[in-house]
Amino acid sequence: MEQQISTLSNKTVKPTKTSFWNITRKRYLAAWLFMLPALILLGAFTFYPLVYGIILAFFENNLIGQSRFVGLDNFTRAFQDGDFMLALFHSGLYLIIVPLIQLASIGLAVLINNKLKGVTIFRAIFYVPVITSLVVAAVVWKWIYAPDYGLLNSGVRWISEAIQQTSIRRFRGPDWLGDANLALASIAFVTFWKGLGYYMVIYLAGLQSIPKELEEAGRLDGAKGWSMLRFITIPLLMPTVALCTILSTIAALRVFDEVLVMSGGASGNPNKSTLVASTYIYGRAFGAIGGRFEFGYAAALSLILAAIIWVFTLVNLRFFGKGGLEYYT
Amino acid sequence: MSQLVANPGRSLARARNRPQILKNSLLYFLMVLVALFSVGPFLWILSTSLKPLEDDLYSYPPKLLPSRLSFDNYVKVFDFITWGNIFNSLIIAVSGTIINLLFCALAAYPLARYEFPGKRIIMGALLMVLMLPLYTSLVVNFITIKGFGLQNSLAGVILPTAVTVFGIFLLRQGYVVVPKELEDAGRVDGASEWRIWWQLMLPLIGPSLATLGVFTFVENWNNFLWPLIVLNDPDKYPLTLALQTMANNAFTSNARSVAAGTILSMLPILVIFLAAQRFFISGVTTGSVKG
Repeated sequence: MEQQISTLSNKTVKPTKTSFWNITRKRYLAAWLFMLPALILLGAFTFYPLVYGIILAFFENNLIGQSRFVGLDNFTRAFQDGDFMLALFHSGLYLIIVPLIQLASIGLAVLINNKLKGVTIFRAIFYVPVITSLVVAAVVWKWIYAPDYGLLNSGVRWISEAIQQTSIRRFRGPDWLGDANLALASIAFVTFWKGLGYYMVIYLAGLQSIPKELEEAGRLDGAKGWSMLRFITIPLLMPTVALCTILSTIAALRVFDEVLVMSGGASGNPNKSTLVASTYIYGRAFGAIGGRFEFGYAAALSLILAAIIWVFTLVNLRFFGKGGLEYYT
Repeated sequence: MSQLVANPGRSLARARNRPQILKNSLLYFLMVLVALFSVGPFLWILSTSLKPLEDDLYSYPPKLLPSRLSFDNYVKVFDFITWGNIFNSLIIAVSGTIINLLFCALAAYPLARYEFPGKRIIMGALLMVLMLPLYTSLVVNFITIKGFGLQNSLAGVILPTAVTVFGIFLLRQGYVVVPKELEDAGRVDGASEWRIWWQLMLPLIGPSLATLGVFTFVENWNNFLWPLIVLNDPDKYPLTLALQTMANNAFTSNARSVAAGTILSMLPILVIFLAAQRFFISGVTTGSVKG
């Protein structure tokens, strides 16, 4: 139909060869003019850092002094850097929230997909943590985690008093953010809380795009409730699961803001237990770790982390088959 | 009771509905639980921010509600944050949003509607940026901003994220679905490329623009790390940074003010979110799921 219209209009206008060229040239020019402002800004602050960052990784650069080419030194140093390895290990541990967040947000999406009155209000409420700033989230959760008066430990105390049937005079609950064994898990829980609504919405869209006929067919075959979920919904939801797993894996490996804000800096308090890859890179670059700007080294560390993220993404794609890469196309 | 006997058909229908009602109340119960998990922490902060001085914040068991409503904390919070902080946040969020909307709307248009040499390369490069997570940009952008002499300025905060690749893709989806006939009608009328974009296309992608607008505003308002790196003068701090500084320095002694500041900093975001909730939530998926 479109084809027909365009050939028709071509016939009526009867363009000569020169005017055709003029028009296309005019449109090429227009295309680039339209894109120019965005390309200038993206060029300066997105593409240039990409390229320059790769070059920087082979230099020793501290911003003030001269930059010096050091070849692969930054990389060999990285692999001998015990703290970086520890940070990578912690980032790896952070991946535990990937399956947890999938399960919880799929459950939530199924729940919110019921046609009930007021369900959109709940959907909006579930989304609120996603749009709040990390600073706010950190303030709120530090309060909840506070060892003596925090909401969480008040709850722990209430339960233990109920079990022991007495009131505890001097109660000491866990120090959720101050205990090196608990701190990372406590912060990861905030990531979970903040991400839940985001993945819920993506899963909801996935659920709603499942063709009604397939659900109908399943129902005719006697599927309902759990078997419906198990044999119809989940398999058809797999592309969405792939997408969300890839996104949350990347997010977990890159986790930064909540760790920085909740542990109070890049040094991984308490006792390096919350050192993750990106806070370590940030700390190295801006002197919070090591006490001096080490942009070259930080760039090399970034490249290593990017490579690791790529490997995980490829593994995910392999595992889920097609689906993930269709994301933006 | 007599009514039930008088109308047996209705009572039967009710009996049949009972499992449904039971199921629905279970679903509502679950949703309320999750809602408490999602916004309970904020409600707690809100309650704290409204507690008068005589209420003990650290009592056990914790008092869920203030003994009386007091707005003192909202006055006192201005000892720590200034109107300047709020103004800075607004400048960053509003100008960042305007630039992003305008430049993305311009750039996405030819990428959606034109065929021209180099289009594939541009699309490929943009896709690569979306998929390649590189941290070096933080470092390099800091060097660039310093080089331009924009360190410790709001412009330095705004510029690096002024145009987002995500925005270009989101708006491109909006343009792609506009019927070709409309564009051709404009062409036959002899309108310039610029006028076709401005008068024909732009109004048609309104919902996508609204989505991107809310997204960008929220992101810029909440932005924390980049302003922290660029700015070192507390007078130039946006609200998030001022709040963070205040929470770190005076948390135990001024928990009330921190609570009030937290609620204040959430307010604009909540208002915008609730107003544009429909766009915003569907926008998460337009940008992400193949469309």
